[in-house]
Amino acid sequence: MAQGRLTVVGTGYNVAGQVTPEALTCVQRAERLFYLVSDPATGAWLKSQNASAEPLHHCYREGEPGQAACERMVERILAAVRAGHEVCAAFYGHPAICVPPGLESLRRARQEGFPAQMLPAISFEDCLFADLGVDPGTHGRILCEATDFLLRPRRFDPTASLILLQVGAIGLVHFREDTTPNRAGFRLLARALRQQYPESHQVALYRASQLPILEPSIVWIPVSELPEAPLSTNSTLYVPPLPRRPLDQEMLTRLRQAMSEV
Amino acid sequence: MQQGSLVVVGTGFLVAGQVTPESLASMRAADQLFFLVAEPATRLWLESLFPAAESFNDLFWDGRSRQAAYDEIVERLLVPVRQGKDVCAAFYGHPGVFVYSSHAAVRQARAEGFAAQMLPAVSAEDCLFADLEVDPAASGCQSFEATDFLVRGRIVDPHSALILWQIGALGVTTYHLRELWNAGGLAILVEALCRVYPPSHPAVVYEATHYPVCDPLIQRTTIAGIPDCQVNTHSTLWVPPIARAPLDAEMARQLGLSV
Repeated sequence: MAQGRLTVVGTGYNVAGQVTPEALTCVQRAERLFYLVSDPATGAWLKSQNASAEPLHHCYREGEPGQAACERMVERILAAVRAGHEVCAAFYGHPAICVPPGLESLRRARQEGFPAQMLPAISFEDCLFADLGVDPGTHGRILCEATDFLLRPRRFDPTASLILLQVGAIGLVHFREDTTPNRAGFRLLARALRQQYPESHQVALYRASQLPILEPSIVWIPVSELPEAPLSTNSTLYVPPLPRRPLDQEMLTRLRQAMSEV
Repeated sequence: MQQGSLVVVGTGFLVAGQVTPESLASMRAADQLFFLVAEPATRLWLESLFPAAESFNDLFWDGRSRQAAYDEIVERLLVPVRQGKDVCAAFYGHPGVFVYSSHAAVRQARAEGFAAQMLPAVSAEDCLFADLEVDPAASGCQSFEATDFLVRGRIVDPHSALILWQIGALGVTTYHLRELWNAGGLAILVEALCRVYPPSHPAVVYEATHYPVCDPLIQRTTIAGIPDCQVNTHSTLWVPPIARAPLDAEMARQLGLSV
C-alpha cells in the first residue's frame, strides 16, 4: 500500500483569485481533498478542481464547543492519510491562522509517521494591510483574538498597530448557525480600549471582500462610538498606533558603535 | 476619475509559485509593468514573461540612503500614470509589508485623482507561520522591526509571541551589500530581550526560502544563543510565548464563560 501524506493549504479570500500556484497544484493532484471555506462559491470552485473534494463544514454541531468540531475534522483527514492516500486539506485564508484543524492535523499526521507539510497563503491580515494601506513594519503590530484579549489581559504597546480578530464573536465559544454578533461582548472590548486610547482616536471595522466583485467593508469611527458600531461576526478591528515615543539616542549610539567595531 | 491607474502587487517568495491569479492578471493587463525583486530567479521569471518590464534595482547602490531610492520609485511610477497609462508595480513578498514606496505611490496616485489599488500577497510572515507551524492568534503576536524595537522603547509581553524583523540590520539606514550588517548589534538585542525573557527561553532564527527545491532555514536556539546563529539581513526572530497569560475571572464571569 502506498504511504499516505498530508499537505495543508489555504485558499485566501477571493474564491480562486488568491490561491497560489503551488497550493492549486496540491488541490488538483490530491487523491482526497477536504475543505473548510466560508462561502459556497469557493466550495464549488474546489469541487471543479478535484472531484474527490469533501466539505468539512458539517463537522460542526449546534451548541458544541469548536474543539469538538476540530477533533472530528482532524479524524476525517487522518483516516484518509492512514488509508494510504495523498491528502490535501484546504482552508480559507491562511491555514495556520485561527483554524485549529489545520495545524492539529499536521501535527497528528507527523506524530503517526506520515510526511506532512503546510503551504503559506493569503491571510485576512494580508487583505487588511492592502485595503487599509497599513504597513505593519512601520510602527509594529499586535495581533490578538478578541475574546483572548479580554480574558487574558496582557501588556501591549499602543504605539503599535493593534489588530483584533473576531470582535463580533466575543465570548461565543460554541458553534451556532445563527450569525448574530455579540453586542454585549463587544461593549466590554470598547470599554477596555477606552482605557488605552483617547475618545477621539479613529479606528476601523474591517471585513475583507469574499468575492472578486465586492469591495471590502471599511468603517472608520472614533473610539467613543465603538459601542454602537456596525458589527458582524467576521469583523476585524484595526486600531492605528498612538504617536511614537521619542527616539532613545543612547541606544542608537550604542548600535552605531557596535556596527563600527565589526 | 482621471484616465491612468496604478495597481501594486506582490510576487510572494517562491519564484512563480506563490503569485496569485488576480496579481498575475493585473501584471498582464498593465500598459507598463515595473518591478522590485531582489532575488535573481524571480527576476528572470518576470523578465521572460514580461520582456518590456522595467526593474527598479538600478536605484539601489552601496551606501545610498534607502529613503532616497524609495522616493524615486514613487516618482517613476507616477510619471506614466499621469500620462494616462494603466501601471502595475510588482514587489517581492507582500507589496504592503516593509515596503514604503508601494503605500506612498498608492496614496499619491489617489491624491492626484487616479484609481489606485494594492492586492494582497504571501508575506515573509505567512511563510514563517506555515514553516514553523505556529498560529499567531493562539496567544497573540507582537511584531516589530528590530531596530525600532530597541530605539523606541517598545513594550512587549512575554505571554504573547514576538517577531522581530531585520535582526541582521540593527541601526542601519543605508543600503549595504554585506551579508550581516551589524553583528555587534545582536549582543545589544539579547541584552534587551533578557529584560523580558529568561536567557534559556527558546527562540528561532528564521529565513524564508526563495526556491521551490530548498527548505527554509530554521535555526532553533535560545535567547542567549542568538548571536551564535547564522544571521543575515533576511533573518527574522520568532520567540514563542513563555506561558498563557493569567485568566481574568471577573471578565470571564461578565462574558458568561465558565473557563
